[in-house]
Parts: sequence; C-alpha cells; structure tokens
Amino acid sequence: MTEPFITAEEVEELFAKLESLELSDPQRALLSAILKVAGDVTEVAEEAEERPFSDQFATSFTPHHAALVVAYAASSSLISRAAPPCPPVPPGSATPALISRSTTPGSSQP
Amino acid sequence: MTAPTVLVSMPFMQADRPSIQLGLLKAIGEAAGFPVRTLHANLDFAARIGPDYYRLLADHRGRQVGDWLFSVAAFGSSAPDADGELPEEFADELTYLAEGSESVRDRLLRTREHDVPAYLDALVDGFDWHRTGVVGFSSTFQQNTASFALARRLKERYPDLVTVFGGANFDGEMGLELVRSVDCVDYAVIGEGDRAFPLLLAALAAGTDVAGIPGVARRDGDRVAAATPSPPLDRLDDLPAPDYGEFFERSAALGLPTTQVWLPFESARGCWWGAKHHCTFCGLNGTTMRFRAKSPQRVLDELVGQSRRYRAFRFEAVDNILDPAYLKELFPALADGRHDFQIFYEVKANLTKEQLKVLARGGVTHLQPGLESLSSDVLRLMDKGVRAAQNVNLLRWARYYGIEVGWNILWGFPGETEEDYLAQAAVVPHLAHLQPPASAAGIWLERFSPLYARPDRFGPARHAVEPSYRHVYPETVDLARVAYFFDHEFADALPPSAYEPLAKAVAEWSAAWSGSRPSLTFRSTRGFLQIDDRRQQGRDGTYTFHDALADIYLACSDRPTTAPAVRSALGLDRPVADVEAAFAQFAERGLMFLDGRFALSLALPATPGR
Repeated sequence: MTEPFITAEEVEELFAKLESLELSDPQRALLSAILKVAGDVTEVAEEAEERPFSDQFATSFTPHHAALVVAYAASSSLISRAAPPCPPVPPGSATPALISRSTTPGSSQP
Repeated sequence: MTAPTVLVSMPFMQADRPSIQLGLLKAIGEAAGFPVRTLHANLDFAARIGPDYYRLLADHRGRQVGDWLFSVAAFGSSAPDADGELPEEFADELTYLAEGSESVRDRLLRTREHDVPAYLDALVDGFDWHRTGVVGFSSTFQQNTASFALARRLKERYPDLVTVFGGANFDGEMGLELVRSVDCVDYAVIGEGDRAFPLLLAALAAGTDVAGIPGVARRDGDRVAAATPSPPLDRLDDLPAPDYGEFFERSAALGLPTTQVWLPFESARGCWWGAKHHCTFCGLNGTTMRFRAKSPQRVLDELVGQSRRYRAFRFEAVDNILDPAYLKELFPALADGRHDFQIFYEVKANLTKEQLKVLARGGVTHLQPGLESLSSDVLRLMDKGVRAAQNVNLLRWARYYGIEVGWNILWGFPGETEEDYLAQAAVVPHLAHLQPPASAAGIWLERFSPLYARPDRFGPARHAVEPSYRHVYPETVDLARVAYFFDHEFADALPPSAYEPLAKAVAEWSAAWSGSRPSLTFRSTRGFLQIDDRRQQGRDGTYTFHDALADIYLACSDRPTTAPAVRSALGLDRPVADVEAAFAQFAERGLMFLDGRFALSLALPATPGR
C-alpha cells in the first residue's frame, strides 16, 4: 500500500478548515487524537529545497558576463565546419590527444 | 472590330509595382473578347519628377497634397487654390518634402505649374488615343484629380471618347457624388467591377443601354442614375491571373528599376474579422466586407505561373487579412515544394509561434499584422479581438523566424485613459529587441469606419471634412460626400500631452533598432536558464535562473500564459501566488510582459530553427 502523502501547505489548509468547525470540547479532543494517529502514518513533504525565489532574483544578474554567452552563440554556427576541441592529454602520455583520436582500433597507442 | 479600351493608373499610385486593378480588369476584359490595354501612366510622372520625390508624395495620405497638385489641371478656373495656399497652411506637416534650399511651397508649386502640365501634354500626345474607344481609370486614395485632369484633356481632344471610373474612391456615395459633379466622368462602376466591367464594355460596343448593368452609375440630367451593385463576387477561383506585361514594358522604357518589384496578387477579399467585429477605426472594405478566398491550390498555381511569367519571386498579397485555411494547406505546400518566394501578407495579430513558423517556412518574409497598440484596454476599445500580449508575442516570433513586421501604434479612441499610454511608454524599453512600430500617432477618421458611422455607439464627435480637401475640389463638389478622411474630436479626448511619453519612448526604440539591433536571448537545459540581455547599451548582462524559476520562465515562452496554468503544467507544489510573484519579479527586470492575468516571457531562444 502506498504511504499517504500530503504537503505541509495542505496540512495547514486542513487545520484552518477544521478550526472553523463548531465542535464540542470532547469532539475536538477526539478529532485531535485521530489527527495525531493519522499524522504518524502520513508523510508530510518537506519544503522544497530550492532557494527562495527572492534570493534567486536578487543574485540573478551578472553584468558583462553576457559577452561570453554571445561569443558562444556566435561560435556555435562554426561547429559543424570545425573540428571539436581536443580532449585533455591522457596522463602519462606525451602525445596530444588529437592523435589518439585519429588512430585506428588495434593501434599500439593507449 | 471593337476599338481597344485603355485602362489607366494615374499618380499617385506607387510606381514600384504594377496595378492589380489594371492587370485583373485587362485579363477579365480580354477573356470576354474585348481588346484591353493598360497604361501605368503613374510611371511617367515618377520618371519625370524623380522616383524618390514621387515616393514621398505617394506614401503620404494625411493631407491631399497629391490631389492638390493636379487640381488646377483637373478643374481649371474652378479649382479652389490657384494661389497655392495649401503648402503654407500645412507647412509644419510638409517638411518631409523639403529638398535643398528650395522651400517646400516653391517645390510643390514648381511641380504643379510645370511638371504636371508637361506630363499631361506628353501623355495626351504620346499615346494612340484616336484608336481608343473607352478609357477606364482606377482610382484609390490620391488618384482622383490626376485621373480627372487626363480625362478632361482627352475629352477636349477626342469628344467621342468614353470615360469610365472605378476603384475604392468610387465606393458608395463618394462615387455617386463624383459622377454628379465632375463632368469628365461618363460612367462609374460602384463596388467590385469584375462582372460590371465586361458587361459595360459589351453595352458600349453594341450601343445598348447601360442602365441595367449592376453597379454602373451615370449622369441623367441633374441626377445620377445607378443600378444596384451585384453582390460581391464569391468564386474568386474563377478570376484570371492579372496581366502585368505592359507595366514591365513601360518601366523598362522609362528607365525605372524593375528587379525589386513585388508582384501584387489577390488571394482573398473582404475581412472575416471585420464581418464579425469591425475594427472601430477601419474604413477599408466599405461595402464589400464579406470574406471570400481563393482555394489554396489556386493561389499556389497562380504564384508559380506569375513567377515564371514575370521572372519574379517577390509577391505582395493585396488581401486585408490572411485566410486561416492557408496555414494548413497553402504555406505547407509552398514549403514542401521548395518555392523560393518572398511573400508579404496582412494578417490578424493573434498568430501563434507555430503558425508564424509555418508562414516563414512557406516564404512569408514580410507581415503587416493589424497591430496597433500595446494596451489590452485600448485594443478592446478598437474591437481588435487580440490582447497586447498576443501582439508582443507576434513581434517576438516574427523576429525569431526572420519576418519583417510593419505596424503602427494608434491613439485617440473614445474611452481611453492617460494610464493606458503611460503603461505602454513604461514597457517599451523592455521590447527594444523587437521590431518597433513605423509610427505612433493619432487615428484618422475614415469614412465607413464604425467611429465615423456609429455616433450612437461612440458618442457625439465633432467631425468635419479633412481641411485640405477644400484646396482640391471646386465648390460644386459636395465634400461631405466625397471625402474619405475627416478631422474629428471625441467628447472625452485626452490632451496631446497624454501621448508624449509614449511618442518619446517609440522614437528611442526606433533609434536603437536602426543601429546594431538589440537582443534578448536565452539558452536552457533542465533546471537551468541563462538570459543574455543586450537591449540597453552599457547595461548588458546575463540573468541566471534555476529549477522552478527557470521552468516558470520557459513555460511562458511560447504563448501568454496564466499563473494557474503554469502551476498546473509544471506540477508545482508552490501556491499560485508564488508563480504570480515570480511573474512580477521577471517583469520588474524587463524579462516578462504582463497583461492582466497573462505573462509572456520576452527573451527568444538563442538556438535558431525551433
């Protein structure tokens, strides 16, 4: 059986609705007990781990950095005609990685 | 054998394209067995005064300068402004006609007193009119008096020659009054001429009575006799393709360039939106609003045929609004057939991203959407049937797909508020990466428009014939029945100062666009978004957003979207209020356009072709 799931926000909303019910004290005590038991077996979702929107907006803008994005955009049209950049040189090898990519299977090169 | 009919297009029709009216009527007349020639006489005047000067005169419709230039030639001693008062009365508005050290008034008077008579003499002497039976004039906007001037001279020299007039200037009571008051007009065709024209030619050739021909008007003593026009033509597929051969011959003979010509074609008539909700300021389609369209296959065949016939790839649709059916059949067929056309169309501004993509793939490179405001409140007053966010979205995706957009901001509508224009002025700097309007100005009050015709709905307005008309027509012409433009003032009109902030913002927008074009582009991957902002010089930068904020921004990119819709589409746990708060924050940074409950992301994908 799937474990019941509810968000903290929905729990708050439920309590607000229950508050508005006209109940006697014993009825309210019973309802509280029921909710306590039910709460023990229900997973309440944690707040999202995302940063608050306001924090993101406050730090969202980076002046001048735009030039790098545009340079990347401008160069993207050349990709189909130019060789991709070389991968890093393998450790312990003195041979540029470009050569290793051009070797055929069975080569003695690493 | 029947003497040929000559169809004439006089100044100030544009000189860089053939007249579809002449081309179509020639083809219709010849299909009915009558020899018809076309004379694009407007080309001769453009060649005489220079294409650039001619273009200025042909483009401008605010004051009747073009008609004024031919008024004396048309009406002789009855012309009202022999002394040349018009250039002085409207001097502030005519500065665009200045050249060198010569004053605008001197330039216009020189044109009127030297170029116009010499031009008309050359036209009368340079064409074999003596073998012509009927001369037909097509007149739209400022073509009336030049047409009257030539007709008058021709009838003086060839009294038996019959003149027939038609075109938008003869629609409704305008045509009836011109038939009554201008004696060189023998007949006029009121409304669409496709059926009346060959019937009229047949009657004239046979010498029979023209009285029963639908839409034909003539003087009968002191009154005008006119038969009720036929209902607008339904089966546009039955029309022939226009014949433009003589336009290219004459352009070449006059040394005018023809390599950049946009060939006019007609795929539809009327306006399907106007038939339901007539835009309040629009006076087009006076008596022929009902929408009719050619079949997609017929349009495709015509474009291919005309391209081969005239060695042209550029086409200008003369339609007032695109038939939505073409989005499913015509443009996909144009794309699939790999036709390298460049096409202009007028469209309603509620096109979606996908529809603009279809148009672009099908060869549409230029659009004129009915896009007249960035305020939904003002658009509602216009009965436009679109929101401001839809207008902005059209500008966005048109730019993305490489489509030029011709549009204008209009103001001066009954019920508008100062806030409507302050809000537009405030948002304009955020739109710097989109194509600016060609102009921002008050509306012209046009005959046939609801604003003119429905004072019961729009309140009492002071309106009078646009004042330059009285410098053009003699007193014997009832201007109230002939004029198309009217000066006006509505009871609750805003002061001119209300529009100044928007006018200033638009001027800055245009200036920025004329240089290296500003941009606002984004790149994204799952949960990560960067927006490159290059709209304001010196304030370039990159915005970076993650996770839900990135998703919210991207969810509002294709079309205007509401916060509940975004929350639902993304399955967000956060309340709608959080999404709305994010909208507000994006908008504060000029990254979103807010329009009531709708939000629209303003950046465009950096990756082309999506």
